[in-house]
Amino acid sequence: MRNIVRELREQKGWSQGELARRLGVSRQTINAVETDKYDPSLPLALRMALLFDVPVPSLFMDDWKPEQLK
Amino acid sequence: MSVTKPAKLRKTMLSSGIGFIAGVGGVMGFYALGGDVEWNGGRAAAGGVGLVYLMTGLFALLGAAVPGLGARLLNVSDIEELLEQRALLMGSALWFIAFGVMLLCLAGAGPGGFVPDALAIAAVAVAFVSTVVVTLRQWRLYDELLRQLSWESSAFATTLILPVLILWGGAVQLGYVGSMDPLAVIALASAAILAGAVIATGRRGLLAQR
Repeated sequence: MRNIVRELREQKGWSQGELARRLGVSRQTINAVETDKYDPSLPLALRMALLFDVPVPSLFMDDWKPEQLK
Repeated sequence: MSVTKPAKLRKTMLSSGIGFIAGVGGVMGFYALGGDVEWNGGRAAAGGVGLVYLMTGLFALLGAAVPGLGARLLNVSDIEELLEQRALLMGSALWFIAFGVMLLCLAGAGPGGFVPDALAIAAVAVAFVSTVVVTLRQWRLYDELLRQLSWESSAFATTLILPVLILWGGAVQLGYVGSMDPLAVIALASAAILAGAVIATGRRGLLAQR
C-alpha cells in the first residue's frame, strides 16, 4: 500500500524520530511505514491522519477497486 | 538521517567480518574445550546452533553497551536510534546469551561429556527464567511493528519445525529410522526460532542495512 507519510512529515519539518515520538511508536516503525515495508494498524493510521489533519484514504492509497455489481 | 551506499557497504563488511572471525574463533574454542568428546550429530548441531545464539547475543550486548560502536555494527540508522532501542537490545542480547549458553552446556554435557550435569541443569534453569522475564518485559516495550514481527516469527518457526518433527517422529514410530536424538530435536527447534525471525524480518525488507 502506497502512502504519503514521508511527504507530510517533511512538510511539517519533523524528523522520523519526532513523528515516532508524537505517535508513540519506534523510529523503525515510521521508517518501515514510509518505505512501504509495513502497513500500520488501523489505530495508528487514524492517529497519523489526525496528526496530519487529512483523511486516512488521502494518506494511504490502495489500487483495489470494488467489483462492478451486475 | 540517510546513510550513503559506500557507508552501508562498509558497515555490512565490518559486521560480517567481525561476525565471521568471532564465529570461527568460537567454533574452534568450543571444540578445543571438548577435547576427546565424540561430536555426534546431536552434540554438533546443538553446539553449532548454541554458538550462533551466543555470538548474536554478545554482538548485540557489545552494541548496546558501547553505542558508538553499536551504531557502526548493528542495523540502525544512527546512534540516536540505537539509544532509543537500547533497553530492548539489552534484553534480547541477554536472552540470546542465556539460550546460547544453555545449548552449549547441553551439547557438552551427558555421558562422556566435558560439562558437569549440574552446570547444564543450571544453564537450562537460567535460560527458562530469562525467557519468561525477557518475554514479559520486551512485550511491554514493543510497539506494533515489533509485536507483528514477533507473531510472524513464531508462525514461521512453527511452520518450519512441525512438518520436520512429524515426518521424523513418524518415521521413528514406523521403524524406518532409529530413535530421535533429543539434542538434535532441541537444536532443530532452536534453529527454527532463529530461522523464523530471519524470514519474518527479511520478507519485510527489514534486514537491508540502514
